[in-house]
Amino acid sequence: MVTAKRKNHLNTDAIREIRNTFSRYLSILVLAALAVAFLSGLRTTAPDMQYTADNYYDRTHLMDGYVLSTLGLTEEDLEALAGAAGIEEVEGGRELDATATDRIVNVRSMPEKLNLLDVVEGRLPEGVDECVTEPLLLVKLGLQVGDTLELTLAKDDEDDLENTSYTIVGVVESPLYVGLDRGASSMGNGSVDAFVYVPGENFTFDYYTCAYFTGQGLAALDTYGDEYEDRIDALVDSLDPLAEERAQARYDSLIGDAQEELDDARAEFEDAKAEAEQELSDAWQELQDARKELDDGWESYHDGEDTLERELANAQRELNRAYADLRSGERELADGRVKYQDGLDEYNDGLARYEDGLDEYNGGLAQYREAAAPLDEQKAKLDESWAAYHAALAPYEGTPQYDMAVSQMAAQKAQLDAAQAQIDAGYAQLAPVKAELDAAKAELDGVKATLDEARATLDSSLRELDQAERDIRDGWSEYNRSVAELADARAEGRRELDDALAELNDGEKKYADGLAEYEDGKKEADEEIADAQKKLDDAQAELDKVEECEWYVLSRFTNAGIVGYFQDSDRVSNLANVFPVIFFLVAALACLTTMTRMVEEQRTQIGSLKAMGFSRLAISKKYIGYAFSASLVGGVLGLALGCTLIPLVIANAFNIMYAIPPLEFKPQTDLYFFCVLAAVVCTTGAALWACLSTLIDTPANLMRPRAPKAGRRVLLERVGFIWKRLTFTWKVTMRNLFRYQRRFWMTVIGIGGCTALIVTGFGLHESIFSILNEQFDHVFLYDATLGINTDVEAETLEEVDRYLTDSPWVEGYLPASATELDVSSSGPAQSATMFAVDELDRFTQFIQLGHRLDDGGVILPDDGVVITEKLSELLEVSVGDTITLDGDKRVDAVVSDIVENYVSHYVYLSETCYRSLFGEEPEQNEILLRYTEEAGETESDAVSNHLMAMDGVDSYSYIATLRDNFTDSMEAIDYAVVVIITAAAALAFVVLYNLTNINITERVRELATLKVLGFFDREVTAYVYRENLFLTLFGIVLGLVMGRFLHSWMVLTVEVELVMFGRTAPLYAYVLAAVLTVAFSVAVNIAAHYKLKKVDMVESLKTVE
Amino acid sequence: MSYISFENVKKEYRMGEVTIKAVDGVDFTIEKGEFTVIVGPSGAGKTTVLNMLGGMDACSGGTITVDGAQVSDYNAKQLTEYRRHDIGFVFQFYNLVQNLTALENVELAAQICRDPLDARDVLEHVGLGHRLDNFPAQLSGGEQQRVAIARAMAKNPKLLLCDEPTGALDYVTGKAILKLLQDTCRQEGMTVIVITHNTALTPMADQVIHIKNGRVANVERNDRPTPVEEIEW
Repeated sequence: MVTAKRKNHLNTDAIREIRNTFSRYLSILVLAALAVAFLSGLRTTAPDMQYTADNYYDRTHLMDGYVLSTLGLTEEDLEALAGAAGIEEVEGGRELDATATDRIVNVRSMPEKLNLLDVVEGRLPEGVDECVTEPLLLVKLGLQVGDTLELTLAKDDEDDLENTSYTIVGVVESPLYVGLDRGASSMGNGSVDAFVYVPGENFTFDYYTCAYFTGQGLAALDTYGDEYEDRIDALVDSLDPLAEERAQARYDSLIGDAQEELDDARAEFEDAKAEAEQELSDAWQELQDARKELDDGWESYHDGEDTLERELANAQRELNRAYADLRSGERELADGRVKYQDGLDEYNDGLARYEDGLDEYNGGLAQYREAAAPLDEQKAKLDESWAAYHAALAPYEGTPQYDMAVSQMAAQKAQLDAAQAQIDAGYAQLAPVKAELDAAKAELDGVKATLDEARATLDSSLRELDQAERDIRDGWSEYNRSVAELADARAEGRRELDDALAELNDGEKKYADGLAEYEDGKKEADEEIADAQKKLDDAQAELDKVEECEWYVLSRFTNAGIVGYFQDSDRVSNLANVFPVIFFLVAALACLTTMTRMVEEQRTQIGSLKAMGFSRLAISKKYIGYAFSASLVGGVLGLALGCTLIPLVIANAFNIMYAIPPLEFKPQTDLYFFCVLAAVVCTTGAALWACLSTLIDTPANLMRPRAPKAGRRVLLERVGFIWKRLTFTWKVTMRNLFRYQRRFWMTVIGIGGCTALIVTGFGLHESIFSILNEQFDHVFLYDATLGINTDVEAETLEEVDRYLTDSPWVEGYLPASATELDVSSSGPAQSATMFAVDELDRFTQFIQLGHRLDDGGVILPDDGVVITEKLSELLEVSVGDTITLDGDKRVDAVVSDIVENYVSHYVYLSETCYRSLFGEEPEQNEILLRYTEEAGETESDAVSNHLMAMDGVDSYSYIATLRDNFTDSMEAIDYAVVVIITAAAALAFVVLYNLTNINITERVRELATLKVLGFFDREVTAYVYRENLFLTLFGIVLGLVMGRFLHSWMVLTVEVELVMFGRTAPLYAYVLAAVLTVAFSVAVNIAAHYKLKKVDMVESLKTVE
Repeated sequence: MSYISFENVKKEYRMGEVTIKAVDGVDFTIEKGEFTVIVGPSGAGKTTVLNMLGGMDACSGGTITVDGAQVSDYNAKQLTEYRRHDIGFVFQFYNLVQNLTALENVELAAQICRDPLDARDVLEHVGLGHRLDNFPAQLSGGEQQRVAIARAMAKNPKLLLCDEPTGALDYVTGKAILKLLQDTCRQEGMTVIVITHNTALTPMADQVIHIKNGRVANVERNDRPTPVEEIEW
């Protein structure tokens, strides 16, 4: 009974203690609550978010991984995959990109088992021509559930979808699309705007584009946990052999067939080509022959023409000559007739003379013959004697008796010879008469011959004259005939030539036609051949490009949304790693001080109780209980608030970017327990420590007033000239500051911590949002960009040019060359946009190139590129280093400068440099626009609508929209920052209040004494304030320094790869942090002033406790 | 007109429903330069009287006059002024500022007065010329009390109020302190009022006021006060 009663009273005391010092109790409670709320809140946020996501994934049977194949997947592939160890379910999916109005959509087959859709509005498709999509698309296209969605397919896969018109029957969310990223597309501007799910039977191709799978037992694991990661990695790795095998099989079947087909096609092509070429060459030959013939024809035509002319001329000439001959013949004939008459007269004279001569001769002859007749008779007898001599000799001729005969007959002979000689001499006497007669005879004969001859000549002349006359007559008739004949011949020849010319011309025309036909035919054939060749080559290239079929087995962590959500929630987790710890430490320190103070205050009572014989445990129970109950209640309250509110606020902010269902709280008993325990242990431990260190002392000592903490000289006193100038109150302040060192550091760290947190909070906010100003006001001076189709005609662009020049809203515009490429050094590659700059001066009116830390100008040299700062950090390169640009070509370039930029990565280079690097002219595919000051969104929309209607304009993007999107995506971090600032402010207030309170209660006696000494209230307050002021200032200075580093560290923690946050907290963050801290300090001090006023001077009379 | 006069001074504390009359109509007068001892058992109300006289507490009724001024009518600010310039206070537990040396403690009080005495002189006067630069923790109880007295005296107050000045001191030291107070009264002409429960001290005073149950039981005047050295208890 006694025991019970005693305990009762101690409990009563303990309870009354709480009631009496409720503000202190409350402050411990609040500190514990804040610390636990903040710690548990930030700590549970990431797990809660990930838990929510995990539940969502499990509920929708999100794939654990998926397989992509460069050649598509077959039913057998799916079966093989399903048969692999560790695979639970497999589902094939088909997808393609299409255009809906001006948006690129990813059209997917409706899922059956995996990646199920959450219906937000409406229902899932039932008919084959129904689809579901996401809210985003409806907003962008101004459609509603029930409307019709028209899809336009790319030319290459026009036939890939059965239907292109779908009724939108519902709005859904897909676990594959939790983020804002909808993936890349080969169409349009290269990125997908939204997804559309249609019934799978719409897809006409036979292969699957993707195979989704789940692993056995993986759904039960936390998707963002280590075990899941290990298991899915292992599973993905284990599928490698299968992937290789199936890929090879697919390659063999598909590429083999394709190659065979292609080879056949090529052979066919070659045949056709040869045939065509043969035909062409035949045709050519024919044409050549025709030509030759034509040429010959022409030649003979010309020859004929020449011959005709020549012949005609000859004939004419002959005719002329004949004419002249005839004329001269006629003249000659007339002459001849005259000469003939003369001749005839002369003849007749001659004849008369002859006949006289002849009569003379005949007389002479008759005289001679009378003289010669005896001689001739002698002579005839002799000749008979000679004949008898030779006849007697004749039989011996040739015989040896011949000579004897001759000699025997010699006498005869000699007679004969003598006769002979007599006759001869007769003759010789007659001879001159004879000769005279003969000569006359000859003369007469000559005359006669001459006369005959003349007669003959005259006769022939006459004949000849007659003949000539006849001839001339004939000549004239012939001449006349010839003239007629020549005329005829001329006409004939001409006609013939004309016919030939006509024929030739005809032939020429036919030849020209034939040639043209041939050319056409050849051109057509060439084109067809080239076409076919190109098709074949393309097909071959395509086949060759495929090289090997490759299977990509990927885990769900390659999905941008899923992994982004993880990383972003982890970023919150990073925030949670340091902030709450600092926070917690400060709160714990404050609790410790408070409890220590409390025990100190009750030193005498403890001594008394100890003296009465209470056990240490019994005595310390009160304090431990006090601390325990305060921290426990506070901790639990803080836990309840922190674990619900903070995750909700942050998760809510995340919903701007992620389509994850409303937050579900993950029971994290360990963490809850740990958080509360930490608060309880810190506070209770402090109480216990304070108690024990007091309880060690003997009761006697305890009951005696504790020797006041000795005053000490401080270092400052050694600096005489300062010290002497200080008033006592300042001296006291100085000494106090250093006397209570624990409290000094406590306060300084507490205030400093809070200041640092506030600096960081504001700094982060500023770092995040200032970059938007920097980026969009100072770096990007342009307001919009136009994507230009480089294939269009120049005149189409002139229209754009004209419009831009005339538009009252467009202040300036600049065609630019922007290329997307990958930039890398030794590490992973980063995506960047490369601008090839023509005129730097003009370019910098649209995009400012400058350094972040100095005002030095930037130039674009011919042998180096300029990159943006964050890119240089990610690539770990500096000026002078070499980077690899991987666009259409892969080239190395030297970094010549690094420029200020915050959002995305850019590479700038001069056109000269571009040419020397890439070996081609940069293509101007963008137009940067700058609007006038007055132009806003409405004007931008107007310009956009106008321009987008023009040919050649592919896209339009308004930078303010970009900026808004960016702001939205950064909001999540900002929410966390707001939480931090609020909590830090609350903490700062509580800590300051608590410490000031302790400061006052601890020295209430001193303060009372001062009052008794006649210090005014304000002097007393000032006495305390000076210390607080000093502590606050010191704390602020420390906090600003800490804040600077904390901020830098935090910026790097929360920064994403695509963005460079401001690296330094702005001045205003420091100023604001200092001002806020001072404001809290002032508020606390005002409260303290009233507390000080209440300090009872009677306290000074009390015994020292 | 006496230097100090209490006329029917009352002090009531309201503790919820209950009203406690700590002082219930006290009348007395003290002349300038007198050494007065207010004596009474614990809880008699003597500290309350001292508080009211020292301007640390306002009275609920009656009139307190000090050097012609109506202290009982003072508001808080006037009371502070009054404490500042007219009162020197010596506490049972010295209440020195631990962070200040003996000299500084005295100067601390002196700096807020209109017409302070030289701190060093005062300390030498109380016999601590050699401990000027010592901190309270380095001084014995008696020495600390001397510093406290010096601090009170340096303000050159109209009256010196001492609340159980020897309460925390041993006999010899206590006696020395009382001697210091008596000497101060006699030599400087300071009006000194000592509150004690120790009736043995009464012979040293010019006037002894007995307080019992919140009233003045009786007032004795000693025409020939006994020097402290001769008093034993």
